[in-house]
Amino acid sequence: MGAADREEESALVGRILAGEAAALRLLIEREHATLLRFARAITRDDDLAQEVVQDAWIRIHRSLATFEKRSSLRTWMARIVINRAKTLAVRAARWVPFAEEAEAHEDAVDLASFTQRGFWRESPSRWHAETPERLLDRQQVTAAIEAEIAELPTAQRAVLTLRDLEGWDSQEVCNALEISESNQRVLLHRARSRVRAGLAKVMP
Amino acid sequence: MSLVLCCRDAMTRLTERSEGALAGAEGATFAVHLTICARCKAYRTQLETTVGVLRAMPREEAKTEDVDAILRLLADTDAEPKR
Repeated sequence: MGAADREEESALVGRILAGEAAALRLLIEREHATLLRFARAITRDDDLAQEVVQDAWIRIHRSLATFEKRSSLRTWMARIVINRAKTLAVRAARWVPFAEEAEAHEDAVDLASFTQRGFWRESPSRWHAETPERLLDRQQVTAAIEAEIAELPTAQRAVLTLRDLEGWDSQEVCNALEISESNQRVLLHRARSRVRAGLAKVMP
Repeated sequence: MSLVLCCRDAMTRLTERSEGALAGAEGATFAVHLTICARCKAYRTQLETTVGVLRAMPREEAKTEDVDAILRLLADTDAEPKR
């Protein structure tokens, strides 16, 4: 997120705090869908995600004056979503800290594809150079990706959602999830590798 | 990381490279491997295609009725005494 975006964001916060209804509506229009997708990614439950995001909006609205602009607004809002989700998930004993998941061992590449010395046994197939849009026209491609994302462990899903589906930069994701740069990269690589494997099954 | 990089290690570090975190001698070793290894290039293309497809996935916007519902919720909550 660039400096111009941050300035625009800061102006929007100012207008909301000054009581401008249209500004509040604009913020919700802009961010609600993202917060909901993110909440779904970390709770893995549609109803719970709705509850988390509603509650998060109340908190965001009440504490907007305390937003210190050290991070981007959407990072700050994502943290509020995480805190609420965590409270509910911890109660249900279903919360694994993101950093803990990153530090658990997982090979992003399938070791069986390599010889003992670490070279490919067989060449990976060459995917035809088609545009992403053309690929997405095929229903099975979209279905394979969605299925793979649904199966990702929570922290991988959170990172992939924000980085690749929502287009956030790495710094924002680290701030939102409170993980290190290296943990973020590990989670992103594992998540992308799993989706690649799913996609490989339906590629021509 | 040694001067000679095997395919498995190179592929494990693909995202590290694309995120700009593999620099200096390590980055150079990686770049050399990717220049000469057609198999790793093919795999890298697969991963890049995956990322391209993910980024092109359609994103639904918030529905007007959902935005209205959140606005009503905030108006109602505002009317309540602060806890």
